[in-house]
Amino acid sequence: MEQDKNSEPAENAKSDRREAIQKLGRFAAYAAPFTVLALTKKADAATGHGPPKH
Amino acid sequence: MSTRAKKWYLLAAFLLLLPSAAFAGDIQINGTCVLGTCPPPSGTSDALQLGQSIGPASGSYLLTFADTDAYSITWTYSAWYNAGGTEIIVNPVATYIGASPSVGNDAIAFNFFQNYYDNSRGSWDGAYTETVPLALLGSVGSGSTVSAQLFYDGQGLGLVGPFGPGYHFGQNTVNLTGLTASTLAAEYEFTFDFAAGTLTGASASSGIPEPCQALPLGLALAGLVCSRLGVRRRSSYTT
Repeated sequence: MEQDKNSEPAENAKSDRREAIQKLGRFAAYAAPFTVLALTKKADAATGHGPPKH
Repeated sequence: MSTRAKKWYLLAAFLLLLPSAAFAGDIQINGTCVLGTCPPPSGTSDALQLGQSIGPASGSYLLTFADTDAYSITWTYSAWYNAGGTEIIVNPVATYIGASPSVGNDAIAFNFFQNYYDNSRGSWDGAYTETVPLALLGSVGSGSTVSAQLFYDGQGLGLVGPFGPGYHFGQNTVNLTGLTASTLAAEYEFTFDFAAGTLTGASASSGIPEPCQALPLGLALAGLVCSRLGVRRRSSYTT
């Protein structure tokens, strides 16, 4: 019985951690297309580069 | 409205207006200055200084020729000056929006100006690079072309183009000298020549337009859908 009481918080912590990881994964999945689009847009324009004044 | 909320609104408005506050990013289309002062004056008033940046910013302009041929011109740009050097990114897009085929040969000159200011000793001399993707798409009249060139203090890095329909790419690096003034004036010149007979929706730009930009987005979305399906399938196995 005592062992059950001890394992309950540990189980809760594990499930909280799992939930957090799932949330992070979901966020990453939703953010990925926008990140890709942002990076793509940056490469798709005329650019010019020069040195700093020295 | 509470004083605190007002302060936040003012701060937000200030931050939103900041990119257009100065620092150049001036645009001229067929001789008409549609943004800022063209060309920007020397000095600090309309230039980026060390550690400063501008954009990303965007805008649009409707260009109608005397023969009623009409074009929608949109653009995005950004620029900065830091310890790594000066940088410009600009993408103009000109789209024919007339309902019937264009009547005349329409030349569109899109000039983007960006000044940099640094009054420290020394010069701006060194290797300058222009990287230019160009696209001429849709039903353009026979003989239509696109070209571009970047100038620093009037010294060109080399003309890219003129190219006919399709996707094109050019890159030039040139060692420039004699850039001893405090102000360095950059000017990106794009020339879009649409020949008579161009149809609605035809466009010229310095970038890969929508369908290609949509491709990676589509792939990423497809990946997302697949991963969701995978998660669902796994969870149905476990229950």
